[in-house]
This record gives sequence, structure tokens and C-alpha cells, in this order.
Amino acid sequence: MPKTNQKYIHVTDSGKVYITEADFFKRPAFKEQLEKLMNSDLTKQIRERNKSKSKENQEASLEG
Amino acid sequence: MPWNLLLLPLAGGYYIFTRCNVYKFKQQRLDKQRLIFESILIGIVILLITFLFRTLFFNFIPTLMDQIYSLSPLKSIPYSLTSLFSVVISVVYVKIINHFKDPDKCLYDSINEVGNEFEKLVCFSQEPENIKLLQFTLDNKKVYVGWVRELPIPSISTHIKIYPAYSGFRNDSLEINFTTEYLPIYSSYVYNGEATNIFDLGIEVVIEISNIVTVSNFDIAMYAKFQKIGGSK
Repeated sequence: MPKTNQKYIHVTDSGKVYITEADFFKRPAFKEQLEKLMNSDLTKQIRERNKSKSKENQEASLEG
Repeated sequence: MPWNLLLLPLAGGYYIFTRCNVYKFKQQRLDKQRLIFESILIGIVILLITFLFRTLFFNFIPTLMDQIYSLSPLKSIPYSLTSLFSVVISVVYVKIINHFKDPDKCLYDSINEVGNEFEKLVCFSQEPENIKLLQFTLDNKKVYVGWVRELPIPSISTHIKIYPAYSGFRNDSLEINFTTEYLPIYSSYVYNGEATNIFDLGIEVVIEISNIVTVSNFDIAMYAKFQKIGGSK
């Protein structure tokens, strides 16, 4: 069986599995991961692309 | 023994198979038609155990058994109490087993044994020190990267809920273009306390499992490496 900590996963009586409970977002591992993602190149790329897109849209609306 | 009394051990078998932690998670992942045959098999075992009890009781406490039978409203139907006792045994068995068997452990064993690859990937992706993001590609070329909120019961629901971190699409050459990031919302929740409960934000995405083409672990460092060598995962 794969190594997994079961206490972070909640199984209901009917058998539904909740993987992310409310405390999931307070876990230190989640905070670390969030920081990594926020500072990642991918996030920067998306923000830059969205900025340039919004500029283009503004310019287009002004021209229009 | 009248044949219709055999329905009660069968019902007992069904009760065990659908309520007992040891069996119910497996049953949810197996073919529906197997349910009746498995119930019959368990029902036969219960019936044998009930007859064993009956023999023991009649040998060791015959007077008490005669008294019980004389008070029973079903005494005109032979073996009716024996058959009824099989249901009682089933309920007691389930209560005892469920008290001692951890449902989480039973579910993990069931997924490990009879779960499909999708369930295994989702369920076993959560380690306390290494939370994994999963990347979903849908049949409409939409791509989501996120944390899975819940895994449904396979025989009941066909949808999963995720908290997206990124979303985008695959272009004509199937390379991924991410267009949206959801991280500031999570960030505000985690660091500033602006949201009191992440579930109230309503940013869950519900995906039908049959629309998912591929699922894989998403590691941001690995993604960056793929970007450097000129390809998207």
C-alpha cells in the first residue's frame, strides 16, 4: 500500500472520501506549496500575459 | 424449512455486504450484479452459523428454548425463529466489526484491492509533508491543476470536486496554455484571514469523471523543467 497519512482524509459513513477538509488550507505543507506556486515562473507568466492582454483590450476599447 | 424463510438469511447477507466496513467499500467498486451473489454466499454462511447456534442451544438449554418457542407468535412456522435469528446475528456482527474496524483503513484496503487507477492516484496523492497537485485534462481540451476536494462513491456519483490552482487549455499542438490563476484567493484566506471558510468562497469546480481524458501529478519544478526543454507535460 502506498505511504499515505490517513488522518488528513475523512471517510463518511456512506463511503464518500473528503480529501481536503477545512484544516487542509491551514496545514504547513499547504502554506509552503502555496508560496512556491505564488513565486513560480508559471504564476509570473500568467500575470504578465493577463496584464498585456488587459492593456491590449484597453487600447482596443479606446480605439473603438 | 419453508423456502421463503431463506429470504431472511439473504437479507442478512445483503446487510453485511452493504453496511460492514470490511465489505461495503469493495461492494461500491464492484459490478452491481455481484452484489446478489455475494449476498447469497454470505447468507449461506450466516445460515450455517445460525443452525450451529440452534443445535448448541437445543442441546445445552433445551427447556429455555422450549419456553421461547412457546411464547413466539411464529411458532406455527417451523424454523421461523432460526431464520429471524440469522438477521439478528448479521446486525450484531456488523455492529461489532464496525466498532473495531477503522473505515479509513478499510477504504484504503478496498481501493488498493479493487479501486481503479484514477481512484488510486487521487486518494494516495495526499501525504502530510508532500501535498500533490493534480493536473486534469478534459475532453474539451480544458486543463485544470488543483487539489481534489472529494472523491465520490463510484456506484453513486460520477463527479469530483476540485479546488483549482491554475486553469487553461491545450492548443492545437496539445501544448498547455495556462490562463487563470486562483492562488491569490487561497493566499488571502491563508495569510490575511479575509475569508473565514474556504468552502464558502464557492470556487470549487465540479468535473464529470467521464470527461477527464488524463490525470497526472503536477509538480511545479518538473513543469518548469519541461518548459525549458521546450514541451508541455
